Amino acid sequence: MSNGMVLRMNASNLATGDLAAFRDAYAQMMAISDNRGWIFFSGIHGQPQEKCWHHYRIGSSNQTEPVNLFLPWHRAYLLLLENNFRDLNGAAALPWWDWTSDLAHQEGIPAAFTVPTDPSGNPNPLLQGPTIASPSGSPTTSRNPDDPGNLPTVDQVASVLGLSSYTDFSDQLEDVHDALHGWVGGDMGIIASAAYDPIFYTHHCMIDRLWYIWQLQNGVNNIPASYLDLPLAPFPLKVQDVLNIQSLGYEYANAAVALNPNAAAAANVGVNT
Amino acid sequence: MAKRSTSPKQGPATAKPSTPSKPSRPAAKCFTSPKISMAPIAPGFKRADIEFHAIDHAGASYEGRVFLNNPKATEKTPRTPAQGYAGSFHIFGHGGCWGDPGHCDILPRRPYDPRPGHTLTPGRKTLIATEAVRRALKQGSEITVTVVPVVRDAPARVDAENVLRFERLKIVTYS
Repeated sequence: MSNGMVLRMNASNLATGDLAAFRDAYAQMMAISDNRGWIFFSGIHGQPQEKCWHHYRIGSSNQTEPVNLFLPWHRAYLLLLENNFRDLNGAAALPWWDWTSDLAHQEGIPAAFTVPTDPSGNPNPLLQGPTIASPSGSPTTSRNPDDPGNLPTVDQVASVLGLSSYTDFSDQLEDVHDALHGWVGGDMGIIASAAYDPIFYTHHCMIDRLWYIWQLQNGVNNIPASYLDLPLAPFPLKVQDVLNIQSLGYEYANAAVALNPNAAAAANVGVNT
Repeated sequence: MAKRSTSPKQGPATAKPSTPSKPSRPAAKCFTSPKISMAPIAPGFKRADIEFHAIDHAGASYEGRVFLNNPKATEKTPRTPAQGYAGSFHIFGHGGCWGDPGHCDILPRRPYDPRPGHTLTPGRKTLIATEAVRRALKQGSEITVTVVPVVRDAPARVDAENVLRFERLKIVTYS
């Protein structure tokens, strides 16, 4: 986008140039060994840093009530990753994987993430990533996807989007998210290693997108007040900083289309602007 | 307003072994609750949840298939209303302990400790099971809850057989 905003799009409908930029950014990250590199970023989530937030726990010893920062934490994580790889390729943007789509229910993981080579014949960096935490002991990630027919459905997502309480919505969306990790299997199947698989970020982009669609219906600031001032370690952000994606510099293609009365089905439309 | 019918604290002590459909997949022990009296539940509720509290997520990832009034449910049991299927929750597991001794010990935070709680702090899963609870109540005033864990992938380092661990479950209704 010409105003500096990033437009995130459907991974199954990326234009050739957009896909090439995304692949290039990942390939460059995977070749870097310092704190701009794949191993460093992927290691924030599970092994070795274990900074990811899932489920409820106290934010600090000053709290008595546990909180669940699953959605804001992962929004911050994707944001930092996206900014990092845009340093390497300024045209790159994170796409989402719509696992409710008819296409996904036929092919499973998007083709861009399963072909062995890119159009130039180079190894596809979206197929697998280097890892230091594979349960198999391999230096690269692998998957064990289930039947595409077992992916979440439009109706399932619609029922989650229909929940008006933030904690309800977050809990149920997190469960859909958990199911996806199990569906992909392999390194994606456990927290320790999941973020080393390139599909991780595209899966989480869909999660973040669904939160954004829910916010459009229920309010951008619709989150327990007790969450707002909590830090999203290790990122230089608090929960209140990540509620408005426009203020973070990105948008989702066709989000307005996704708000029609049959919101989830509309979100299935993978036409990018 | 929520009204609650709770079971006593339960672990997997009453678990029954399940039969995997393929020999190479790890088998996981199932759990069936004692009969839970639903007498405190007022009729006409709009929503019914089955909550699993202090549920462990340190091990393998799995799908927890929940059946009502079907203590013989296994992985092979069809997920249909006729079989008492209420829905599934999913656990995205940590895949075992990846650090040195003590790494996975869930230590309480001291006063003034700014760190969040341990990442392995047991979680909570809420299954929205309104129609299934309504159907079960038509069978009688007591309900049993059976959880069949289905593990697709399990690292060798985890105990996939005993993957299902939680402290208590609640059936909560909202009028």
